[in-house]
Amino acid sequence: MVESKRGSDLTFRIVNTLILTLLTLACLYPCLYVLFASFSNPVELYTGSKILLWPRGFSFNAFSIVFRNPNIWRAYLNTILYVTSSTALGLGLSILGAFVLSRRVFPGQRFFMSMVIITMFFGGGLIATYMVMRVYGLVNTVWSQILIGSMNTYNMIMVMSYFRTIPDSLEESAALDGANDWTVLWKIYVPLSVPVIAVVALYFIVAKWNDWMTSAIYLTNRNLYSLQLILKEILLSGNEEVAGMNAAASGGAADYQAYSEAVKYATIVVSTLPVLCVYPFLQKYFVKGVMLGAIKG
Amino acid sequence: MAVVSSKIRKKPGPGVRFTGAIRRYWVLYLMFLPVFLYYFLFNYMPMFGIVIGFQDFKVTRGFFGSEWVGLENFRSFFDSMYAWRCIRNTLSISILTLLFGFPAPIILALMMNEVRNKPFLKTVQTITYMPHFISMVVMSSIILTFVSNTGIINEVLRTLGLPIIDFNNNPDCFYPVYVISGIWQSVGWGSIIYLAALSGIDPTLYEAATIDGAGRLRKLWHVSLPGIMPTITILLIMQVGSIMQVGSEKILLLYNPATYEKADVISTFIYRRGLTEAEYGLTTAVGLFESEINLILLLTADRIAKLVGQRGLF
Repeated sequence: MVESKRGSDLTFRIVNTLILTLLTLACLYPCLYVLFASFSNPVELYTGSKILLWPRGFSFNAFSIVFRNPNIWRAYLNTILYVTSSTALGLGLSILGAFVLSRRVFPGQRFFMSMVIITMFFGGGLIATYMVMRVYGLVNTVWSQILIGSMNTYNMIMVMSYFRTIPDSLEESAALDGANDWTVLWKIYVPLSVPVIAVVALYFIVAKWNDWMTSAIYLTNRNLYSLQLILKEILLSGNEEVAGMNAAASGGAADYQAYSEAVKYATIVVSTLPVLCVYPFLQKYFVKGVMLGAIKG
Repeated sequence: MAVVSSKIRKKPGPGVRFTGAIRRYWVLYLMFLPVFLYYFLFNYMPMFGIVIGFQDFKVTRGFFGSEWVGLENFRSFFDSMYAWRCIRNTLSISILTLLFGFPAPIILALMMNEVRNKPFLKTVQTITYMPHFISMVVMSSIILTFVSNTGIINEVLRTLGLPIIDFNNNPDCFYPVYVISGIWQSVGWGSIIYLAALSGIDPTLYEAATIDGAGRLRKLWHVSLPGIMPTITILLIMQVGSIMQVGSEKILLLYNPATYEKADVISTFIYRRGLTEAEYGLTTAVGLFESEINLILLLTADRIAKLVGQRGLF
């Protein structure tokens, strides 16, 4: 009896580990594939088999084309501007809103709460929003990328749930010392909520860095293009001029097609690496933050 | 004390209450002001903008000068050949995602919860969460590269001596490509919330089950699963409430005119016809139809959850 149970537990563990390993490989391989392909010799990559287990040949040529591409650099700088500004705005609004909504009941609080919650289930939709933003004069401006969609109600509710776990006694003693709500927020709540604020900041940063939709809807001026818009042209529309292939052509690259493929992979690496580099360091924060903040749902 | 004083004093009128509240809580009101303004300008004004769904909207005439046409926009959408195509594709993709994509993170979380080897668990988590951090543009280009005629999947098929499949141009391949790649992108990230719920289960329940002679599978079935049922219910209600909505971003990046037949959903129809062909009134009406249906589904799912004894959303 005991023997057989131990046996079935062992089988369970082996099968479990096996499936998890396969899934992990399935998530890892595409990323490794892109990395290997970007460092491969473009010509060997283009003509050989597509199954890569290691870079085929070795070459930095694709990267040197990407690094010489002014489109990438301008888009990079634009995206950094959009990400920092919109994250600052979204984070600031989330902290303020979360604090006010986590207070003990005061007149108007229920109204504020419903106002926020309703937007999670109902909105104006793409076209009505676009037309209103057009009236505001935001279309084709830097501000469209900073303001539109910078707030996220889910993130605010996460901060709010976390704030609610902070004991009242702390602020009561602060109130005795004459602190008002403003001081209580910045001196007590924010310092105690670093894990959840880090998580929410990460969410805002990643969402904006990866946001293609808002840029695609509101921007037509090429000087304002975000990284994702440029990436779309290079990777999916196959626009070789934007990809900086004219540099390759003037450099006398005989195998234009081969280079254009390798350049795509190098572009992916250059555009994705910053986010993937930050992520492992913040990971311990976000699992913790989700556990503390999202259980309430 | 408080009771006595409120009895002695006359009940204050609404005006007095209002100024009293302002005087007492002005810091909080001031703090909420920017949040209020943001929501008003960027969420509520667009809701008023829905009026253009009932207008023959012309940009030059604006919200107030355009001609009112009643339900004409709705009628012309439902009379067009695209209505059925968009609705069918939206529902098919949503339901397939619900059937296969919804259970996947639950199963993954339950599996991760059984792993006792910490470094292995950490590795699995770090890597399976990763696709969530890669942009949709990059993801779509990776997906299209992998399933292209010269891509790795067809290369494997060729090596095995099987006929290759033209995933990118065969409309019938669109649903599977979309749904399977969707699971791959989101299964790890989706499992976090269930892992959080699992970690909140009282360990004594597992101990009691062990004493009763339950093996791992039985504990999983009788302790873990019921423990995360409230989380599952809430996420299921949310998912059912968005059945009429398939995000446009991934489809806009993945589809092409050859696959419109199976890939064009309501949101991509709105994007294409609204923004690129300037049919503002029609597409706003379509969007309103979409969100109305979603709202009804959400409320129905919430009611059903409460009827079967689960905690609902509201």
